Amino acid sequence: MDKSIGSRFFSAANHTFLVLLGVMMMYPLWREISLSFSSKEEALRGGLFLWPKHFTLDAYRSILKSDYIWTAYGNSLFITIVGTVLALFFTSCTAYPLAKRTLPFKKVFVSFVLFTMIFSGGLIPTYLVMKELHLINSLWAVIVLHLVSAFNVIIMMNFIRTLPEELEESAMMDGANPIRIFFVIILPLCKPVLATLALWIAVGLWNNFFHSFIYLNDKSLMTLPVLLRLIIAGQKEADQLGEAIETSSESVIAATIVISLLPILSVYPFLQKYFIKGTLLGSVKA
Amino acid sequence: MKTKWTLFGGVLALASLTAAAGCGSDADAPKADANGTKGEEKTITYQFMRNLSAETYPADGGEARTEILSRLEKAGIRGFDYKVTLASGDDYNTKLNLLATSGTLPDFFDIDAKTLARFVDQGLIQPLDDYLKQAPNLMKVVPKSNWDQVTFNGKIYALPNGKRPEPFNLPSVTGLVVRQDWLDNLGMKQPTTLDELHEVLKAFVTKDPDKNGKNDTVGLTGMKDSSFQPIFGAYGIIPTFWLERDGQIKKGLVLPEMKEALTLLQQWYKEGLIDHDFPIMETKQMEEKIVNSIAGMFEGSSFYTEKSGNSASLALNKLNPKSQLNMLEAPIGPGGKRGYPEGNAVAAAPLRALSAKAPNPAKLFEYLNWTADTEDTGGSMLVSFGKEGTDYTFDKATNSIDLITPYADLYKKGFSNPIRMVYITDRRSAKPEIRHSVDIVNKTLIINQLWNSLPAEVDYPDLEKKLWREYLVKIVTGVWSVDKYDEFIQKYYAQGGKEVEKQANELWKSLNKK
Repeated sequence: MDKSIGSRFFSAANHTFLVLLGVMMMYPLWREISLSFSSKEEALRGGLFLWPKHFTLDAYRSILKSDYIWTAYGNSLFITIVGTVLALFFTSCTAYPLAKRTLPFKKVFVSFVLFTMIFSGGLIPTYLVMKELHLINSLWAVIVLHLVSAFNVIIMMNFIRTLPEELEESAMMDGANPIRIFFVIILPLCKPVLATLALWIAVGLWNNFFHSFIYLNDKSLMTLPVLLRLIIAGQKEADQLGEAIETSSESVIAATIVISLLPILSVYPFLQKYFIKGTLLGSVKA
Repeated sequence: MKTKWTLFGGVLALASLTAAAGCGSDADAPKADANGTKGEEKTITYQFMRNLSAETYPADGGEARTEILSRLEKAGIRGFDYKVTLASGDDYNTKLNLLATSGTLPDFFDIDAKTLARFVDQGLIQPLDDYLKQAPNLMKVVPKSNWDQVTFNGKIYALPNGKRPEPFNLPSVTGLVVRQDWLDNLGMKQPTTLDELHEVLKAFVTKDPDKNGKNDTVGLTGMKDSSFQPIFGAYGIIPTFWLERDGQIKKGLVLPEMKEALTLLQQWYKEGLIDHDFPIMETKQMEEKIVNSIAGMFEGSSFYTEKSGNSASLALNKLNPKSQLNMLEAPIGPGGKRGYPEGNAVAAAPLRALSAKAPNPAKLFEYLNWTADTEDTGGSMLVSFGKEGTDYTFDKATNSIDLITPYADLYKKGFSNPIRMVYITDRRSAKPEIRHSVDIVNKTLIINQLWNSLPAEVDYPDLEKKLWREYLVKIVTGVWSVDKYDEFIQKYYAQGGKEVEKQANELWKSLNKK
């Protein structure tokens, strides 16, 4: 393998560039982690954090012993897990028939789906509908709002179209009905796209601030993003009133952020390989 | 987002129509009082909503709710219960608007002045005058002038914050905060005039006031919203205030004194006495400079002057125990003028409004009146600081409160800010240093002639926030010459300032007639 000087140089430059880019992406996260292990005073001093300064676990101790974070954690997990499973189910159920060439009025149905991508009801009408459905102040409000997104349906539809039709025909010959074909043959083949969508939906639900904030009133229904916001805003309010509050110092905020990141961080690497495949497949054929 | 807001407006307009149509049913709200006395056995749970961040507040109201309800019983107020919803930040208004359009407003809630004006127009909230007559304690704690900002067509539509009578509870708390230990290191006295201030800042920058052998200090620091009010104050104006000139009121920023002050600021910036990074700094960066002992002086609240009042001062004190932050008296300008900006008395806490649909408001106000009662039988202390002995101690001799339970834990028990539906400024729990600083600030104040927000200011929101700030920053940093300020005044009037000034004067005259 002879390489010209030019290509070696290019590769070196390329690597350096990508490593630098990687470091730039990683640093904000690393800074939060370092902050969360630093003492309060050091955290307030700011500046560059390559390593925790004045290593201490105080921040974690003070959050982990409070019950409100676990309530929020439980609610966020519930919304994310139940929401993702249901969303995948409904999205694939919508996408499968729409991917069939033989579906009557297919274009009409597809344009209905597309329509929702461009036009939405807006905040207030949606709120009023949710109110009439008695979903205000219920975790289901957040789940229901994210059940079927037009974009996901289209990605899924395009993926199903790439599956050979012969598969279904042969299953049909063996006596399988369409519902069985869908669950036994189509869905397992859709794993890459399901994984991709699952990740999108899960991250979206986990990070969802606005809907949780608007639709959930009770303290016992608080989700993590809302809690984080309360903690961060609490620090500012306390300083204005001259009522310093222990729970919302800079390092506690960082620790809360780190804790709230953990679940998604631990899922990501395992879904990553599907992720790339799934996105590509969806996009190229679109 | 823009379209969403327009939609919002449209639907709100619709909602107001329905609300207006529903006025007939609102009319029996006062009648309900008469029935209320009969049906007192039935407990009404009032829905409160506050714009506050208190993540530790318990879902069921905690032990505070039990305690308060039993104390209410003793005070003879029966059939009352409450439930608090907390939401915070800018999205609070989004939430409030949604609740209003869907007809599910809480009974008593936080509101800002602008939303208040709109809700009054739309008939979503009801006047408080009748109920206030039954609530002498509320009338006692809320200063008379505070009612002006919540009066529409001669009726009071919201409950502003009150304050205790001690002078350290006055609303103005902001001034120039200095590193006293640096002054001592340099053997300098607290500056009283602009010239002395100049000398001190110069020494802070050049004479190594922290004695660390490094040239790493800055004089006056600030942040992107700083407007150097104490310096302008030395020329007798505060740029964003309404000031009286020849029987009329004008914004400080159009007055000729502006250019004198700007010349000085530009000069100081050029000499390096003002932090060169101020236009790009957030509060957080400013506090980092304070904590790291880089800044010698900054515009800040009195709470900085004692370590328990502010997280930044606490950190500074831990890192550098010898450090001391003190409040300076307002510097005197060449014309002998001086002054810190007056604080908005009503801004200490959000206003509280009563939903048009609230059940039996008379009972609610009975409760509010009780929470504003500072006597032993009243609830003021209990609601604000918890139980005497376990949560706080009160020393009558020094008139000070010592908190045993810190705020975060008070919230956890369900006391203090989350349930203070009548906000009474009470700094008896603040340390003497802080009280002293508040005294210093309040010695010399420049008074704003008009605090009310004007419709024209809503129509032209960029005049002060964008246009003026651009000219201020560019002139102070020397990008533009001071003469360019004339151009600003022209632009200000051309782009809506004329209308703002007209409305301000009309309102000011009508308020002053009384």
